[in-house]
Amino acid sequence: MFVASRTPDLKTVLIASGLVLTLAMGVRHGFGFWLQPLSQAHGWTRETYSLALALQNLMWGVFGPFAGMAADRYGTARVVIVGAFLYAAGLIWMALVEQPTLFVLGTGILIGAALACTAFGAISGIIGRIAPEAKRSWAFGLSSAAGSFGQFLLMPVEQQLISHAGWQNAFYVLGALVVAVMVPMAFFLREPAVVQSTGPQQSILEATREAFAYGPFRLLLVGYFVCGFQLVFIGVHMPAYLQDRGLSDGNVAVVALALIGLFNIFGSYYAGKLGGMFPKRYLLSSIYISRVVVIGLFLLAPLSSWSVYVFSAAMGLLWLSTVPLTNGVIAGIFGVKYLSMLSGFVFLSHQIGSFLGVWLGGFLYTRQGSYNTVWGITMVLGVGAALINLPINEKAIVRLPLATA
Amino acid sequence: MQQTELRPCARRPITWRRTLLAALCIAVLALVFAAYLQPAFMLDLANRFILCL
Repeated sequence: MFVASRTPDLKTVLIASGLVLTLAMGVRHGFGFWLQPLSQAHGWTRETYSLALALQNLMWGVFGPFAGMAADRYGTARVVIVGAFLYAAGLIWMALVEQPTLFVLGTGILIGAALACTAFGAISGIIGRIAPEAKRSWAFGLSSAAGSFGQFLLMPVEQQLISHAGWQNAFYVLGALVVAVMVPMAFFLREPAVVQSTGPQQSILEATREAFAYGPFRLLLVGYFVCGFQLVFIGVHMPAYLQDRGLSDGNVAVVALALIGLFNIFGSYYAGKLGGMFPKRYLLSSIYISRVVVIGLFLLAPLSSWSVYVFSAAMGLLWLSTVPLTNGVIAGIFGVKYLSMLSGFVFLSHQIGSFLGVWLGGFLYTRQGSYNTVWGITMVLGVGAALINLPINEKAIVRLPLATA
Repeated sequence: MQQTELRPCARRPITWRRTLLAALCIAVLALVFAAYLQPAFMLDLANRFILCL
């Protein structure tokens, strides 16, 4: 039932995986809208809901390698279907559970696992396997753009949904939508068993050992950690920074968010496209160094609504542009057999960086009363990430034939 | 002779499709961006930003 008789064509895979990614990335992106109504309805402080979302992000990273392993071993279709039902269960959980600890644990684990099964990591494997090598980076770029589009699109949709249907019904509608779209799309992501087993004759453990023992993979892990740190620090602490610097008009932050979302789509797509033309390590390095330059200019320039807009558009272009390139480098080095799993490991590093970015931003702000130190750390890390991406050897790893005793 | 006549015909639908697709993408993105600029949405989101500070 979940094994196709013939290899699906690239266009079908891109459309189906694009729809899955649009919803997977989009639905979670608007969770902030439930903070107020849900906390008010249950009489909670904002801490409970925030903790649930923090745990969810961490669990997304923790489940990533396992969902990737399952996708590589049993096929993306099965994993997406499991993810769709977990997503719906998580949304229903969020709508119904009133006990804070249960809410935090259930939301964190169910939605975190669902994201691991339906977002980039799990999907990258099938795209890598189906796309010809010359088109692989472009295909990764297109799928990243679909995820970015989901984030951009679903925020206003979810806000309208809560306003018109109420916060609880909005969860039900989204849960139904996730199952109604993802489950049928999963059937277009079925691969023949031959495709699934193409590649080196390695076990999962051997592939994991090989990757972690290989220097360039460790450099990718560090680079992606920095990516997570920078993005989530900026995403979460930016409104507070603007307020601190005297730009208290909330509308500026809204337009900034819209600009980041819009330019993120183009950045993701074109990064993937350029990855098919130029060495990906140089592109990754350029992205990290560009972030440092953009942040530096933003901090040095007099703050105004326009400086925020220019900064947001520039950061939007650089936002998820590392995703197609990083997945492309992994596929180029290790092949596509365990691509989802290896992407999952790299993404775990990204999520640990995200967690630290949010936490350190808050921690240092509380101690020092300003974000200067964290901005400094963000820039130093950016320079470091730019440098460590330069020596990455993108060539396919040379595997010695197994010695026979 | 036949080839020179066929080539433009074979390319035209692709160009048409691409142009249409590009126009459609731009229209959708512009529409979503406009949704962000709706006063009600802006107020709602801005309030949430202020609340989280």
